[in-house]
Amino acid sequence: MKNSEKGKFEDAWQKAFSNAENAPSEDVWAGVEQSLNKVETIAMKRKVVFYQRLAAASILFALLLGGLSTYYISNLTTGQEMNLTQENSTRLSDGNDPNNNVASVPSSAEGYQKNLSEDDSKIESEGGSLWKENASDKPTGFIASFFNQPDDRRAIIKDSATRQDYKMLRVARNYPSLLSMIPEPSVELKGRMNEVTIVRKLPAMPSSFMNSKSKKHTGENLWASLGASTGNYSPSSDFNSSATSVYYQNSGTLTGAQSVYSTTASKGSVFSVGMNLGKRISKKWLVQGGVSYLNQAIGYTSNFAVVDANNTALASVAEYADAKSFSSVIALSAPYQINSVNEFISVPVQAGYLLIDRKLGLQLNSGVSSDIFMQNTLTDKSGQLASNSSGAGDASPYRTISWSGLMGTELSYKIATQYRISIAPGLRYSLNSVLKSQAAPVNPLVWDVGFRFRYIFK
Amino acid sequence: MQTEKDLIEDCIKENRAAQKALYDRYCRKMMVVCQRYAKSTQEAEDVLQEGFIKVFANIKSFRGDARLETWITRIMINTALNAQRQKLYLIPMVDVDGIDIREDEKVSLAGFHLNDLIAIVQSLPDGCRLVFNLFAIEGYSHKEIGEMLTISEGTSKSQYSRAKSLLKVKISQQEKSYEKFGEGKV
Repeated sequence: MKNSEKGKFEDAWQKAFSNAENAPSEDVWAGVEQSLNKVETIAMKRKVVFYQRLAAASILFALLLGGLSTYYISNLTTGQEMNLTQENSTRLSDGNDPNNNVASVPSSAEGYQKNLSEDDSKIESEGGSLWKENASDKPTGFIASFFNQPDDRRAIIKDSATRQDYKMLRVARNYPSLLSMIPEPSVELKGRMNEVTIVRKLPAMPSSFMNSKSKKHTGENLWASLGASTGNYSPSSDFNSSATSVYYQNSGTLTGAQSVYSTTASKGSVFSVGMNLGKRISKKWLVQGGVSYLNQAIGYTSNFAVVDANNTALASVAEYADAKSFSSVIALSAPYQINSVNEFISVPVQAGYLLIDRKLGLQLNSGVSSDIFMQNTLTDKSGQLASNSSGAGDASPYRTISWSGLMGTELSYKIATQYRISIAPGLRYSLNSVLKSQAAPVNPLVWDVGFRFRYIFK
Repeated sequence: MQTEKDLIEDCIKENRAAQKALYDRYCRKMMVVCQRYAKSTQEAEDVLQEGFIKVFANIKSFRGDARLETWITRIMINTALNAQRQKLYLIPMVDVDGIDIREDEKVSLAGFHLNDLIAIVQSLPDGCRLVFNLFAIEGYSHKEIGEMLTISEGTSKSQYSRAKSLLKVKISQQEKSYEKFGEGKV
């Protein structure tokens, strides 16, 4: 502005309008408000689309998790639930005992199917003639009960079936029309049926929902959290993880037993407690790390103990066989149950991606943790043998440090300005074996659910 | 009463009550700004409405370097200029030959009614009205006005000269009217 160009004329006009005010009509604000509502409606539609996609992604994720879990659990339960002594004695004595007739009397459905396959044609012909002769009869007994059971019960029924039942089942599978002959459960209706009118109402959308606008993001940049988690774990990613480790095969030196072995259960329990520190590094990404105490417990069946220098019998498992501390003095016993507890200090480092960053939060986490082995304790459940502990170090069968991959989600809710609680289902898989022995690697796979309490720094 | 800073923060959060409070605080002053640039009150209200929509849409970009009132006024002026720009293309401003720049005369508008002054300004031709507002009230130079309206500096000067002479006539007529009916200017 060039002041030299300005004169008294301009000053007079500036002064006249300097603090002048005139009220506009009410229609102006109505128009502004209408326009703002239109903008918000567009924004809300975008949000709805976002949440629809998020819901679809969540459902897919849940289905994937559910599918994996179902597959995992079904593999664990089918033919694997303990009865280990019988199964192991079958394996260990295979071929050694001429009187053993295990091969002709398998204990599982698979064994039966194998035997059946050898005389398929015989069964076909037997079955065919059987059902032709009894065409008017409805199937009863095992077959009827089999088809009336839910899927997860069938495996159990299979185990309790007789050889004749399996023949009939095979026949029924080959003649699907027989399924219609299975008796339906009889249901007696009492009283009279009344006509019911169902009124469906469309849910009303509150006006506050239309007008309310939440923050784009929470602005939480640094936080600390305390948490605990609990879950199950399998000693190996192999779903058939119930396994026998043989320490010693009978060579004639030992009497009264054919082998020295221990068998691990297919599934154990795990819990952890710890603290985390999290930092947002961008609008959507964060890093978090911390330290936690990790406890993994699992059952073993063992038929031997070790005797230490004080002549005390200690509970033991075959995994200790490679350890330098393993005593050469072993004492055989009847198979007994051991509770094995591994304790670690875990130092996780994870990257997180924020899917929802509002009062309700949802994030995906992935990372690694270094697990520092502290101690393994074997406890005889019957209490007859002394506990056997093994710490970290050269003499330990366990690696001092092992690495695990971490993956999970965290659903959180802001309960106050600086506090947030969350639930965090996750997966942890050991990238390298926790045992030093390369002969029998153990890579625990852990499914757990954590609960966290978060303090947000301002 | 909510401070200006709180008001801005709430408006950024798109809080409707805060938006209404901001509107109530500045709408009267901005109405006069819009009336000066518009041809009529209806047109001024249209500009005011569009201007406030822009204010709320862009308030996140307000950095606090200037006063909020100054920032809103600038948005209103730009909105008004955009509304008038089409008219300027339809009625191109031409230079007025033989501009008579005489010594400034003393002018007093103290006793004039506001609406009368607005009516006088609104009676100016579109080009003259814009240049008059930008030069005399807003304080822009002719060079700046030329850049804003994509006209030459000379055109801006000639338009202003014309506006000035027209306004003097109108003021004189209005003074006579006040004297005749015994109201207005004291």
